[in-house]
Amino acid sequence: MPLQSHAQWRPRVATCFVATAVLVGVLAGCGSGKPGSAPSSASPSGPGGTVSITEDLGGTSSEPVTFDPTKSHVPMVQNPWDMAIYSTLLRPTPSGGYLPELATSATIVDPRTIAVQLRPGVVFSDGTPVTALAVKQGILRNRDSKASAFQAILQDVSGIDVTGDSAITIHLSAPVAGAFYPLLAGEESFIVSPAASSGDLNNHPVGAGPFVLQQYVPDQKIVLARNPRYWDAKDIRISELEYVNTAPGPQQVNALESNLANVSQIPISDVPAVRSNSAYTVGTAAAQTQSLWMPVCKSTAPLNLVPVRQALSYAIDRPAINAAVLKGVGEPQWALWPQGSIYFPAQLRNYYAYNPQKAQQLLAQAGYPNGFPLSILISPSPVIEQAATIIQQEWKAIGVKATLVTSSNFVNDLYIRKVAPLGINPEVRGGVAVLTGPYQPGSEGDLCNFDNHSLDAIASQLSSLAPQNPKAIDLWRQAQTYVVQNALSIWLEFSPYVFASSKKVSGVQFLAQYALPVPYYWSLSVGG
Amino acid sequence: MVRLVLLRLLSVVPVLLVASSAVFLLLALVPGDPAVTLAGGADATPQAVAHVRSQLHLNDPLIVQYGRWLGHAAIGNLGNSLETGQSVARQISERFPVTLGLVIAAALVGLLVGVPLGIASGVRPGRTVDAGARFFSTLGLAVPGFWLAIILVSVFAVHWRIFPSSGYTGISTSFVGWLKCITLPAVTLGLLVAATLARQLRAAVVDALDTPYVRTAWAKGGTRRSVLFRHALKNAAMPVVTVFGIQLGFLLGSAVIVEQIFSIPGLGSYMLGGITAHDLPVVQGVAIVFVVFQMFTSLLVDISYTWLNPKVRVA
Amino acid sequence: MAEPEGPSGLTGPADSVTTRNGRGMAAFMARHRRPTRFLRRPSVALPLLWLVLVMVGAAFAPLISPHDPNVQDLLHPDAGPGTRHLLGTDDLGRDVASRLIYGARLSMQVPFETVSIALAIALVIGLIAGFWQGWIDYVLMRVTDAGLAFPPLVLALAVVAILGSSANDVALAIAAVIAPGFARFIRGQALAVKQESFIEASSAIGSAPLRIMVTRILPNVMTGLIVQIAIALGGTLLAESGLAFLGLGPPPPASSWGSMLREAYDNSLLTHPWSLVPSGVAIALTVLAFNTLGDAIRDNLTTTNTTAKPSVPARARNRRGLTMVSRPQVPVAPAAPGAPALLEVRDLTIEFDGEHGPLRITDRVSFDVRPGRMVGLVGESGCGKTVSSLAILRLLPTPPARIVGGSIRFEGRDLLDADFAEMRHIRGCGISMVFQDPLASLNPALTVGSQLVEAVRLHEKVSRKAGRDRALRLLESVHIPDPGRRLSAYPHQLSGGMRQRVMIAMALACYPKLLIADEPTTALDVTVQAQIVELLLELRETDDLAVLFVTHDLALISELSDEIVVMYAGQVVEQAPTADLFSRPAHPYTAALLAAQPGVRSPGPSALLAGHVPPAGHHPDGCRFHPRCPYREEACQIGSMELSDVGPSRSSRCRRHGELDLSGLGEPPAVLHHADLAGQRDEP
Repeated sequence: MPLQSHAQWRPRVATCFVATAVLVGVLAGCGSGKPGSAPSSASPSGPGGTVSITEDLGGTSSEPVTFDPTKSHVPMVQNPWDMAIYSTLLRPTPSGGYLPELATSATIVDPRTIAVQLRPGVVFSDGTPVTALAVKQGILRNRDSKASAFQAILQDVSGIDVTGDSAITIHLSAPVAGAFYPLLAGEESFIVSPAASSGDLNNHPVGAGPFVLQQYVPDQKIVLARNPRYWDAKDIRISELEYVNTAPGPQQVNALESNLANVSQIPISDVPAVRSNSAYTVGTAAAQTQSLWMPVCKSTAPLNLVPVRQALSYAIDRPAINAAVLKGVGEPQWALWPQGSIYFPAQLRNYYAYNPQKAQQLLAQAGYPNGFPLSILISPSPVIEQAATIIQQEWKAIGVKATLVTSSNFVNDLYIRKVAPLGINPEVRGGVAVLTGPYQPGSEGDLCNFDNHSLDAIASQLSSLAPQNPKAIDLWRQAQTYVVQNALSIWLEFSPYVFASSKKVSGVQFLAQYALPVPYYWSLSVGG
Repeated sequence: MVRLVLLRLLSVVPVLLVASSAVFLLLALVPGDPAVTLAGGADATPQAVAHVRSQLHLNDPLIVQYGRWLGHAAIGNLGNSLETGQSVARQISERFPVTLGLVIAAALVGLLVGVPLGIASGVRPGRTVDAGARFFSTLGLAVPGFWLAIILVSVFAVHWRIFPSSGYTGISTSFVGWLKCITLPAVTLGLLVAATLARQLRAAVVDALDTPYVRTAWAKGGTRRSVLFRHALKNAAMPVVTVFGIQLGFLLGSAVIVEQIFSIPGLGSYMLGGITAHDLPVVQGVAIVFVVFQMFTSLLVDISYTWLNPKVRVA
Repeated sequence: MAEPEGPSGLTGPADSVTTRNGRGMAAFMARHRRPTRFLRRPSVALPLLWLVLVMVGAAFAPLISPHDPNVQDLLHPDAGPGTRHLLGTDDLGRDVASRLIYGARLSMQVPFETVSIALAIALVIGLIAGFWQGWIDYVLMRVTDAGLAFPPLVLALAVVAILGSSANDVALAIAAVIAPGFARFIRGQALAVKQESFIEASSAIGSAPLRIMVTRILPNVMTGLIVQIAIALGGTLLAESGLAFLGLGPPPPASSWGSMLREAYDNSLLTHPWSLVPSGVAIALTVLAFNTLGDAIRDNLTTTNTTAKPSVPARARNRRGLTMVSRPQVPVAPAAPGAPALLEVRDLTIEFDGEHGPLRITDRVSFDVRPGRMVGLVGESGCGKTVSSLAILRLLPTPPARIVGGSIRFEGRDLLDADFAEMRHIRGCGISMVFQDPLASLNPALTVGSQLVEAVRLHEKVSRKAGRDRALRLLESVHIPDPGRRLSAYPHQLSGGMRQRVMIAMALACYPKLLIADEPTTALDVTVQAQIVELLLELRETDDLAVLFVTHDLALISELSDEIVVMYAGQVVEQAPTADLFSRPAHPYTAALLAAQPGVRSPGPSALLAGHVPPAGHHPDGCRFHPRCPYREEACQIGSMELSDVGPSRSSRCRRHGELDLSGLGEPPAVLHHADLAGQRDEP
């Protein structure tokens, strides 16, 4: 729908079996986490200022606001404020890595076991200590809640042992420790204070995060104040964090211009207008999940032929799409990971650079010198429609006559009804799911039941390895080389969240791996 | 009077049955599997899908499913959303006041603009006022509502920044906030109503002023005010009330687009989301609420008839 | 049925040939023998021109459009209008003008396709339901009820969600929304047509139902449908745009105007607002064209003449409730012979605006009403007697009516000089009026009591209670039994005679000196007529009330009035004391009217009064009666005929009045009793 320009191809439901983002810098040895020493000495009257961020609190594109993590139905949409209140065991960084947070380290002992060392002396905002037992109870509370947000993801947790005053061991029922690892930085590890969990969490949430809820005015704003008891309070340089209700769309820019907010996500189509205004800084937050790509049914002619798929891939001018549709803020996608990722194999850069001649040769080689007709399923989102329209013209140049078919029910139409052999996908995934989802039997997303045993093997190995494990890096590179060279899908662009902020606010960074972008509180500051 | 209301309420039943079964069957015809969304969309495993199907009794024959739905609906349980798992009835009860507020505000705009315009132009057909009013109503009926919305947004929200370009504040949260949010959507919808009302009222007033009983009123020495307001308007109101009732239904429909443009969390946007996500319980539930609302307004129209037209009262 | 001279006839006196109720294509065609005249109106020509333009553009899009609508220029998106791109380019650098022209294809296809589908469905449902009725009708109507119970766009949305959003699917979806309304309309029309005798006759003969439907009902239904169709076409275009705007339009790159608008909104609202203009204007103009066309056709079907050019400058036009007077020169007070009259009408000339300029409805009408006397104003329908009587209280609406000459003196005061406030006082208090059809003349929405009390309180500052008492007494004075109960009754709850008594009571509310009764008995039963006549006589006696009794019924007036004024074709043709007129009519028209009274003379009325009163604007030269006059001569057909005195207080407008020996009824018509009138009330 028009206004959900960006939201359209965010995950509607948590499609990510594992929502991860990862690792440019390897997690700097969780065990040796240094900031553990002086947790509560930070003075509450540190540097001040309010950062107000626009957020859709009205519930048109998300669900109603709640402060009890287990009351949320749609995964990850409560994160922007819940992470500020509860924090996580590991702190995700904008570049995709993890830092110690409530835990000082997390180690994969074996594919079914993760050992977590908790930071000693941490307290909840009500003053009660964050003990190993509290963490265990918190995770199990999340697992056992009836809400759909956690059920599928935490069902692998078979048990948690308290192994010391500040140590727990998480046992998994399947060898998926690697895939599970990022959950330690996700809402799954939001720990609710056991003392408060029976109380009115929705109005008086108690967590160990950097902020506490000060005021919530439904449909208007959420005001969070700095938590003086936060273990790392000295690194929080703003006194207030405010979420003001603004629906997605051009009004986000209005909110900035009317000083309703000083930080806002903005629609990509407004980037040129905002950029030309010197009062604002435009920034982006990218992640692997923000991918614009085309799943392809590889079982019927002519798309069963590798050269044909390669030809289609060669016939797309990704930089042009980036410029025209994404206003230059995107990144042409050559593989499953962005070019900045440690998993990105350098030889895949510009692998399918725009080359219509080569595309035609490949088509001729495959026996389709004059091209063929084809339909592309698209969902009615402006970005996707624009991209599809451009691709349609570009494919026309090599003789492939594409018909665009709009679907308001994309998953059903593409994966179940198979209305078209390929589509531009609003469903996004991260982590191992980018392999298991589209290329491994067992989920509806495996279009036309593609199966490759060596790829399956790599995927299951990756599920058991910690993200930073060098072996994982190697496996990722292998997998991508295979997937890309065989053109198992057609990748288009990584499209980031785009932000504009007033020049007064500095250090604006966002974590992009969640369904809604989450600000990186530790770098924000106002004035100066 | 009571009899009339009871009769009308009774006549709602078959229509509701037909309408609800139509929606149910129509949506059952939608190709694809509603369980997939709940089972995780593209990443759903076939087992998960099967599990959801059996949980939702989607394998039962349609008629059984419909019967079950009907039974639940009768006691106010409209099922849970396939997408979010939330109670549809609850969501509707939260969103209905939003849409109702919008519809009422729009109807008010329509009345406040349309009625004076209609009267002014009906009283003096052919004059400047009339020409202006007719121009307004003709134009109002031709301009697409969403286009008007966009224009209003770009003028009053983007350019002058008098009103927010979208978003919603609950009326209980802040009345002023609500008023600010609701103004542009209500004007968008209301102008359309105003155009229709003005048009109808003009015709009705012209007709009424041409009737023998108005001539009688003049003949017995009626003042202009008594002739217009006491004699002509009450009779002219009758066709206009019907049109207004129909317009309320239209408003509810147009609210879908307007709620979308202005990001108002009402029933329209809920239904649109339900339709796009193939969320059958949501669509079904909202559709029924819409139908009931429509019937309710036509009941109100009928009741107002009995006040306006004594002949109905006896019948 | 309204008498053509009655209120409805006032709107278009020139058009007395086609009745206001003339239904069907035939009536439409009859009105427009030359359809070019209809087409030449701006309200028809301009929309048609635009629609033709759009359709030609759509049909020949490849020839007309300056660019390929799908060719992109990613380096030059969102360009403003210029020489290279007439309307600029869109977000992908495509030529907007070309896309608009190609977009017309879908934007035109969908409405026409939709309406065709809806019509096909609705015709089947509507005709079946309307023709067979019974349980089929019940079931079909509940189905349409259900369809109508959905907010329109919502239903379309649901259907599109199921079917998809190609042009055909969208057409089907919107058709599902329109069809129920169409079906109801067709059913209603079919029912109405079916009840007309010719269908019953056909089915009695045994024609097959299908044949009847196709040959009889369908053509009648189609006429009304044309308007519905035109409006529906516009509505469909709007609906299609709405769906496209919600993303449920044709898949790209094909575009309809709606999807162009959506693209502009999504991608260029802030950066290039101009892009919202071309497609939005195209939609608005086209819908406007459809609606205007629909209105024009409707106006032609339902009203007789809406485009009459008022010949009065706007600022000079009078306000509501008072006929405008524009006399070139105000006549000096006439020296009336004998006793001063209560009401003196002199040279009253009234014009109506017609299609081809003003029409003279009455021509120098003069008569007097003396205190306590009853004057009959007689003539056939269309002679101008009602217009004259309404003009006295200046009740003729302007436009179309204007009083262009003469004077109306009431107690010496010229009513044509009076302003609204003065006139308001005279109405009811000086002169009051009773009309022909008491049901239509009483306000259906107000109780008898409140209308009576209002009549009192408009002129006298009395309390509600006092007003109510007076109303009660008024009802008693017109012999309404159980008046207390009647006060709270609505007009439709009373019998015809009772209503007319109420009207009379209302007229008497403020003790007027003159009562103008315009055909007060025509709409009533014979026995009731007699009672009303008696009541009037009684009132004249007891209240010393002067009465101007307007009627076409000579027999009736003969036993009531003191004097009679005969009108023909807008002129007074004879004026005489009742007895004189009946015994020795001085004008052939009067004689013919007398002779037309049944049971009086052997040759039936048709023989002597063949032909019609010529409508205004078609008055013959010479004596206006000459085409129907058995005594006409060459000289009767030229010049103009003047009223001349033919005896003491009588005058006639016949140049042969001296030579003709017209026979009257001999005796004043005591032979005529009310019961005799039963057979001859002419059908209004």
